Amino acid sequence: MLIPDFSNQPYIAEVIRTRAASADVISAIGRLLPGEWMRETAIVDGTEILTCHGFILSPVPYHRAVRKVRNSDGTVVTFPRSKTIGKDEQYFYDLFVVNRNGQFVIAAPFYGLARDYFPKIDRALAGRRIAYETLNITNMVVKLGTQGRMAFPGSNDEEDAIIVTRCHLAYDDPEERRRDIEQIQLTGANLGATKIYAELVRPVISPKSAALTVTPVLFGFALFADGVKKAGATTDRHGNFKVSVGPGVRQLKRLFRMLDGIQGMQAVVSTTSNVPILHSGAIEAA
Amino acid sequence: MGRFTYYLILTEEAPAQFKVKIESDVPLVTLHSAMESQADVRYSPILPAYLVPNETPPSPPSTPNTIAFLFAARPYQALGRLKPDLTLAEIEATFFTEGLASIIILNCGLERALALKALIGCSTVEFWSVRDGRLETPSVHSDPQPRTENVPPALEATRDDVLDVYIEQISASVTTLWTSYGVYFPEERPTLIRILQLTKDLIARHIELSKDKASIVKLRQSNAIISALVEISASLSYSVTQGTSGAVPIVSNRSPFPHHSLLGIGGEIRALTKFVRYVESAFKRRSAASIIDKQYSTKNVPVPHSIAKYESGPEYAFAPSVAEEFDCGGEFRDDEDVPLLVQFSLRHGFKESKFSITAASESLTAESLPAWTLMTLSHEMMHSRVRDIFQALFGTTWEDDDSPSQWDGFYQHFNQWYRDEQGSAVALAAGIRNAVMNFCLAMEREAAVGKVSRSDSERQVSRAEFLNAYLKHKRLATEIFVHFHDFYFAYAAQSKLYVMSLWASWTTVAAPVARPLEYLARTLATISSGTGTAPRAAFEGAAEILEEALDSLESVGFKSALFAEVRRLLKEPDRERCFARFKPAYYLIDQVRRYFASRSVASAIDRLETDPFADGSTIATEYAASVYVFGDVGKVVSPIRYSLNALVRQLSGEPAIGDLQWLTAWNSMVISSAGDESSVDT
Repeated sequence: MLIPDFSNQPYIAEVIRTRAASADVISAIGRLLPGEWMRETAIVDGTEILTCHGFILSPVPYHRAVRKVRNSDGTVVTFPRSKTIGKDEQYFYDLFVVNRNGQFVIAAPFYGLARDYFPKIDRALAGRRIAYETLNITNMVVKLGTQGRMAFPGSNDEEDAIIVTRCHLAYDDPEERRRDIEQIQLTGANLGATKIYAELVRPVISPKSAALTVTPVLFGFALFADGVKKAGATTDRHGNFKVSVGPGVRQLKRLFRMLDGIQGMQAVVSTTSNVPILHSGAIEAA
Repeated sequence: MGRFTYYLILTEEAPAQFKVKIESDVPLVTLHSAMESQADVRYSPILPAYLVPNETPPSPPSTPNTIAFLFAARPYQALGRLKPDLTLAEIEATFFTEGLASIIILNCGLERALALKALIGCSTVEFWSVRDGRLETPSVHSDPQPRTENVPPALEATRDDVLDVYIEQISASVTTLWTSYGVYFPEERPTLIRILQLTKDLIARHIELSKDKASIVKLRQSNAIISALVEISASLSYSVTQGTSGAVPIVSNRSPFPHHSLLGIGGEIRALTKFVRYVESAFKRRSAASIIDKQYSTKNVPVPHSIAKYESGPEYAFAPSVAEEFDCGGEFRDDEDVPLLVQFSLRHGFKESKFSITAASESLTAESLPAWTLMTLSHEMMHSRVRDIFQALFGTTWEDDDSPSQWDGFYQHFNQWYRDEQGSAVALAAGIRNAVMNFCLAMEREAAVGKVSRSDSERQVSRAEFLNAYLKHKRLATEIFVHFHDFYFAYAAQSKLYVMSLWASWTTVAAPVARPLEYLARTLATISSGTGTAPRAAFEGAAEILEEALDSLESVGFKSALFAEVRRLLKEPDRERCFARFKPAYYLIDQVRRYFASRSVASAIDRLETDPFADGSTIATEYAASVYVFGDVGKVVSPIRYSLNALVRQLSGEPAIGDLQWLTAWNSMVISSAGDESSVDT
């Protein structure tokens, strides 16, 4: 079982599509690492998922605090792990690449780390015709409606559902140019169950009847099957994702299932050649 | 941050024998040696396209083996489309330019270049092989041009010697542009059709006038037509020299701009044009002239006439859920406008006239500096809009704003309105005109705000005084209209940002240094518009914003003696003098705000949903423009918001990148790539 060093916090991720061979992609990214990938293959939701875990070695301290964990044998491990190279202390940070067919999820634990390394990964994959998946979150809000929920056929003849867990809305007033309200942020296990969510997203769903222009800038959603949350993610308008990883990396592996559900919504999924993390820093605030 | 700009240099050592090299700095040494050896040198900046944050791109070879010139009409989107297919070596060898050859790839084989051409759907590639630093015969690979259906009918000679001079000039320019635009700028062909139609109309009108009995009025009108033809001809000629040079074959199409002599500035011209068309397209939604003529002339509204007692009020504030007067009524589209021709000018800098608009040539190199930002272009365009408004308010024909009978009527109406203590409703068009006149008269008798009312005789104005006040202060009244339009539409009413932008650019302009009080009052009135507060409170609030803005400018290194002068004027005893100037301006701009703000037009400029960098906000500091992001299908960058963001970053001391030339070319490349999708006319 893969146990990330930073399983206690969300990771920044991007979803890549390419026709290049999986081994080629993973090997090209692996060249950025000081060591080898640790690989694990598993069948998740009926499909084979390959998870690669490695460490980036960086002199930049992306973490805010050091975490100490006492193992059962009494040894104490400090996270992030570090080693001194020359006069400098260098830190090890997780990097995950999770692959299913031509789709790859790349995840790293800190925004700054992602901001520095995802462009390097983009360069490392040059010439492989990679594209980053983005979700049109305005259309997602519209499709999920005021209930913030959409069911779709599950893997075992049962219904799975995508529900809203986070919503950041930006307000603008093209007529009056007023700044009375700029953003509203909602967070919860099931926002669609609240009245306030329906009220707030109504201008997104029916813009013509609204005085203000309301634009979703961050949107969180979760995959529920049999009433159990299987995976969750927050995304911006540009293809940046924030995901929970957890010990065993189960949520990351199930991300594909959730993306499949979203794929079923029309005019939501598209791709871009732009590295999402270079487009917007909004995901950092999520 | 290092310098990213390189220079592609072509030295003609002997007739048709060219040496090719790339230098990392402005090629001053090469230029001097060329003078010594009497060789001809042409060069242009080339800029690495794919940057990585915090990394300096690898240097290109000083003598490449091959150069592929891709004449992509939308290089921003083309770079986005190319990126996934390029190898790392190709990524590092890809540059963009300010010319029509918008993308160049070094050391790329012909076959590969043609494949990339097909990938981005670009119609033309020029390919250079370079052996031992010398250019071999270039090859041009162009797609056949589709047959044009809508060739406009030619102008015909009139046998009037004067008119025929201009007919020939205009015809020749239009023909050259028609061919060039077919390949490099197809969206601009309709402009040529409109220009030809306008020329025909002018000629026909001139011929009609020549049939009438000679009079000083007719002479003035004939001269105005000739003057218009001269301007059209001159502008078209500039469009030819600036917009078509740098086309294939590159060595045969030298640019008249010496520091862009190799590849020209066709891409930059495209950017200016796209910028202007974007704003024109937004304003087309509501024709100010039609609204004044058809709506404001029939709607009766009381317009305040006492500037001394003017207190503004909630009706002048931006009120929630109240439709703007300008947006009420039927459809008032303006489909008859003649698009402005756009050029750079070393002499005029930023300037607007009836048929053309120019940008300072410094904007080719340092556009993100406040003095040369493309945002100034929006200000110049607002002049064009305001000219239409004044035309509708004060006259219907060229140079007719001092026609005696018309001014008799204006004078009489003004007197009745001014003396009506009840403040009865008047036709709105006349009310706005009276407000402008009231402002001009107030400026004429400029004095500190007194506590004693003027006597009745002092309030009498003769017709001559009335007209003279208008002629003398029309410019200032116009500027106040323009300021409001610029502040509201282009700057999204962001007060501090607007003030920073104005005063950072005015430090290098003669007029604000010569007349700081006037410019100060204009600024304060503009940022007070829409507050609806009493003049004294509005003045105090605006003065505070202004001082904070000047502090912010100074904190990032923009220093000027002008700022000290402004601060001095805001202290007693000059503060009261400043308020005296402010109050009439505030009175006027309140009327402008109330009757010319338009949600319909503003939303066409903002494009919150489709602009990839807006993220739902018109706040300039939240606009997330990035030099690492390329064009995507369906995304429409607002040229105004994009330019404003570059300016904001400069004013905040946080430019996206430290190389002004690179940043300038990048911003233009992005704006030049706005395609049909950018039409706000959907």
